[in-house]
Amino acid sequence: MIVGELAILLNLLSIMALGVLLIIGSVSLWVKVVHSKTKKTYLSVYSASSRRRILWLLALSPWLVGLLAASLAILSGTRVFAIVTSDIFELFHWHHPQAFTFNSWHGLSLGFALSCASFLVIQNVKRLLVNRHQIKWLQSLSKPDQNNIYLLDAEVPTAFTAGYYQPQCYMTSALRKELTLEEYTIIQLHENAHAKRADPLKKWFFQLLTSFYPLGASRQLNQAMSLAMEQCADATVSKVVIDKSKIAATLLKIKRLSVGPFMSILDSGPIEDNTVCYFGSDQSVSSGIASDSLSSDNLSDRIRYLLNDDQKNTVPLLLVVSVVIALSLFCAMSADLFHHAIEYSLAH
Amino acid sequence: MNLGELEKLVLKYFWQTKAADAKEVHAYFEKQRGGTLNTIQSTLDRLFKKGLLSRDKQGHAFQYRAAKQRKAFIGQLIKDITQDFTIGDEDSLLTAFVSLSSELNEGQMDELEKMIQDYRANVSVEEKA
Repeated sequence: MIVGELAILLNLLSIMALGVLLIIGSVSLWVKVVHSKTKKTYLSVYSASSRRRILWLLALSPWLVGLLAASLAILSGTRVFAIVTSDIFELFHWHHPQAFTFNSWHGLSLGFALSCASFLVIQNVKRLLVNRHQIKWLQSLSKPDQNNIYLLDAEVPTAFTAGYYQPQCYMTSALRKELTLEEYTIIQLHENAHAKRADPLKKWFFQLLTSFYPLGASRQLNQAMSLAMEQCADATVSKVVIDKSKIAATLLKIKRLSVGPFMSILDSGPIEDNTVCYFGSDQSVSSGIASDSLSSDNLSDRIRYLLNDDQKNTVPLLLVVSVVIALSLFCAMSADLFHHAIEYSLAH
Repeated sequence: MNLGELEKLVLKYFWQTKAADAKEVHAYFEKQRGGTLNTIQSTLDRLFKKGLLSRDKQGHAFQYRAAKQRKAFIGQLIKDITQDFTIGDEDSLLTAFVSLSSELNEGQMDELEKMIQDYRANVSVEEKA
């Protein structure tokens, strides 16, 4: 048994872990049941930038609530707060905070939570480092043009942004030769928007946060974030290219270029000189959160959103902040209740 | 696909050279950066095992050549970068202009085409009005 300040810290971590688990469970349930069963898309009523904020909040909420709950618990033990708000903090009855036993359910659950967190963080950081190395290699095989778009000599028509600290825009030669100057500008603006927002790094961080969720929920959250990021980049382009139909037509043109000959090569299995690659973020698999239920594809969602002139709603910030605070209070107050419930069930 | 610095240089060499044995590769790199024949031989062997070089025996020595040409390799590299970071088949850390993996068929693309045309027609009607 540990007694003293270290025990207080470990007990706080237990409370935080409890809050994290509770919110992960609740959000996963919300994503799975509410959206998958009803086939409704509540988030689609919000603008892309609002959706982005909501998704960040969902990804961060377990940690925010966990930290807030632990902070409230520790504040409830201080004299200052006891004087100022004695009645409220009486609610946070904190069970033997200065004693921590490793072979208790506290210790086991904390050990489990820390092991899982360490595993996921190490796994994601390792992937980041490998990916960074590969992107450097890709950059060394490319040449920047006058607009600082890195041209890659490849036969698949695609453009993308990659890199973490200094993201770069890439475009393949197969795509470049098919583009008019206007289309090239649209793609350049779109990719520059990703680079300016450091979207690849944010995507990695979002994936790290959502890797704590069950796979199904994590996938849906990531798909929704991918779509929101693309729509935000499209929206940035539309501030310069006023005619949105030109952006939509460019999207569709590249989609048409990428299917047909390339997809048929893909379908034919491994070829020695396989120049075809395809990647990522296909939101077609029931992206319940962000996509319109009628559309079946990321591109459809983007074109529909782009051409839809209706103003979308923004996030009700006050409501969101209130929910986070309420959840934190609940977690902090229920820590002792949960403690007694567990000990009661173990004792009987 | 994780390659060391020398492996990258050797691979680039083979994209410019049709075929070479270890001694020829060593002779080329010795002038540029030094190193022993053993280092070159083990590098060639690693690249062969990674499927990036092919080889056939001619006399006592292996003749190496690039198994994938530059364009094919770059395509593979883009694919690898994406796959290293995917959850299932989704969620690339690259932010692509258009996902190549979406399963839109010709009919759906025609539908989107029509939507764009309708939008243009509506805009021109509004402008005339």
